[in-house]
Amino acid sequence: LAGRGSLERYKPGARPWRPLEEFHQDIRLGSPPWSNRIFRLLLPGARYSDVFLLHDGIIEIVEAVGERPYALGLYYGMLFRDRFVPSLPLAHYLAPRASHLGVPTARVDEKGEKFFLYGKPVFEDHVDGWREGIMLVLDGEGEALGWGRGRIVKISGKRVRLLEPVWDLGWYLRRGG
Amino acid sequence: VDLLAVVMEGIEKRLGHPQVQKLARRYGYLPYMIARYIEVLGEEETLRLLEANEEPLPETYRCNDYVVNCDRLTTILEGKGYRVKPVPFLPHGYEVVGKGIGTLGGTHEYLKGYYYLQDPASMSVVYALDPQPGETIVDLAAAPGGKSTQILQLTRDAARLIAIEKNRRRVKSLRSNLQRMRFTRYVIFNMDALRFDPGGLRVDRVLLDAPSTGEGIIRKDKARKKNRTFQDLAEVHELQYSLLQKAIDTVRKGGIIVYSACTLAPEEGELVIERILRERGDVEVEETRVPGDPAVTRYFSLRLDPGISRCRRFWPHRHGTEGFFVCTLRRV
Repeated sequence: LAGRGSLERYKPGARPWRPLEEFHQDIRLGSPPWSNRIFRLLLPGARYSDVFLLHDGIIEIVEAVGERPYALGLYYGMLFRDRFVPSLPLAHYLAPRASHLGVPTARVDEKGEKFFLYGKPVFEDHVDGWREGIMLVLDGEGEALGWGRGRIVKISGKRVRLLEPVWDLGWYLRRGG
Repeated sequence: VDLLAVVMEGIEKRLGHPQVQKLARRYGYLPYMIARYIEVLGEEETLRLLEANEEPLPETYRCNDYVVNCDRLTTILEGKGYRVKPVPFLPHGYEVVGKGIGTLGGTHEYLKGYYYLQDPASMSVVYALDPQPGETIVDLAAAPGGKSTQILQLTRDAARLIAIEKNRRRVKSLRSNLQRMRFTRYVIFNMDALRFDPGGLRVDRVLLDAPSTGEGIIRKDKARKKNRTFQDLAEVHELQYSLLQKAIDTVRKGGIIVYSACTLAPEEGELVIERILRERGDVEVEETRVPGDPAVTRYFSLRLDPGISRCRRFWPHRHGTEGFFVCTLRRV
């Protein structure tokens, strides 16, 4: 697909893939067993690339059709030069596996869910499992609401623990199309 | 025979009829539309159609049972003040009969992918397609994703879906809806379906929910009473015909094609199928196994292939839905 973009399979240790590897470390996944099914869509001149987790048979479609796909498989996130932003489908994929895999999660109560889905930070009193850094955010039923980052900020001279949205389901209404 | 020229001739003969002009003025339609409705339905039933088109569409949704138990979803929505009831003829269809807090397109459950806002007639199309796990299925005009998400819902995300959308803006909503409803076995191509070539893939089923004049959604968009001329209709017919040719060329021998259009116009339904049947010997009309009425086979002086009565039509005044045409074909 020269000139129109192409799919590149994950290359362990390769420089462009390091932000994804750091993210995997941050959420205690290390090198997940599905790594060899991770691909990124390379577009000429793009500032970032979309990353996808592909089931068997999906690559075969792309090869047969011979056109650049717009999106495919399980959307994994966005890979920039220096950071990786995990996606909402990845949150859904990991939610039922999180405790087994040891992925850090935060559960928010009903009020916290409302704030979070509006793209607003949530105070620690509405969060169970707060920690600093990136977390998979779940509702009371254990369903994924998105990704959040635990941060300590100073408000009126007082240190406050917040859960700030990285990517929340409310995005589907605000930006999703 | 130029089918549309025959129709045009019939319309012109009928335009002078006082009832055509009277109803067009009273309900605000272009007269050629009324002439066609009277041809298909007769005067009395045309009046019922025009009255039904004045009523807003009921709010309906498709429960995504791949993600949530539908009884549980009903309980959650009832907890938010909604009153809902199942649509009798559709396994996943629900109608909102009592409004709750906020809009149905903005609940947390919507964001979690529990449902898709969709008209029952539109939902019926994918039941007609009858997608099976393991199959390779092409949706040739896929945005915003109502039918693509339904194909993967019915196959439990276990078919391979190729979703094609030409429009750059609408392809975003297709992607967003497939992701929101948590499906993963798809490839989206942002391209003109007329250029699509499956290469060596064996395609089992093709869905063509064709771009249409939107004459079936006058209940939602009253501007459609006036903003499409017969010439516009003829142009849309040509595009639909070309896309259906592509759909048939795409599917394997023995494979299924479902053609649908959100329209009341026989020019966008029955006449597209008639033209294909006259020109190709490798396609047959199958029984379209959804509710709705048999499609039209007599239209002005045209006598269409009797097999077309196996296709289905949804009428706003008979079924309470959008106006819709659905037809199942098999490549032989």
